[in-house]
Amino acid sequence: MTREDVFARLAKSKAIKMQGIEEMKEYLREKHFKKTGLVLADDQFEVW
Amino acid sequence: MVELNIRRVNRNSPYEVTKVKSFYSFTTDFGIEYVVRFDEDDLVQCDQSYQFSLLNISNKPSPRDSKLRKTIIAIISEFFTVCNATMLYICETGDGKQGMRSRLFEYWFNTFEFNSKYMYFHTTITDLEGVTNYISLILRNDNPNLKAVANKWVDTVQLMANKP
Repeated sequence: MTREDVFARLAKSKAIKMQGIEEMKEYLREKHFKKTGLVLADDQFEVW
Repeated sequence: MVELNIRRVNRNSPYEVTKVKSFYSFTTDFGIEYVVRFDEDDLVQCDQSYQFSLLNISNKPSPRDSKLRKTIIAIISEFFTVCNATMLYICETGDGKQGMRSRLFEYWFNTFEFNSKYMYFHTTITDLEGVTNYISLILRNDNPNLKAVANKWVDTVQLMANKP
């Protein structure tokens, strides 16, 4: 296992996180739109 | 995906948690909805591991809310009840606030009750792009792979820290 391999795994983990985050953003966007008629921009989310 | 027992979560959670699709949701007294999920991950290679993610709409500042902390702890405790695996948390780095998130996360879990049940590894790693990443691993103290995970994680961190 090289240093590059480890960083590649870290990048993969971050990508997995972002994929899940996108699904949750979609849910919150849809809900917010139904409630207010407004579309949430990406910078209106706080990802922890 | 990890299937939490919602009834059990809600016995310990001040906010009502519901399941939505493949994640969990709750709304605070301040009208802020939070969504939480656990995704299978392989950064830790010697134990089954899941990555914890948390998201909310941030059009208003999050007030200090002890119920938020208790709800997150109830969700994570339930995760460990149904799944004796490693939980991984990588703070989001996109807005440069990862240090603040990491401190808050540590503060949330730095209680006697939590520390008596779980092992917590906290690591700061600068990646190849120069971005500082805050990574936490949490395991139950009785996880049969605890020692192997700890040893492997130390090796992994050393490998990342050693510049060529």
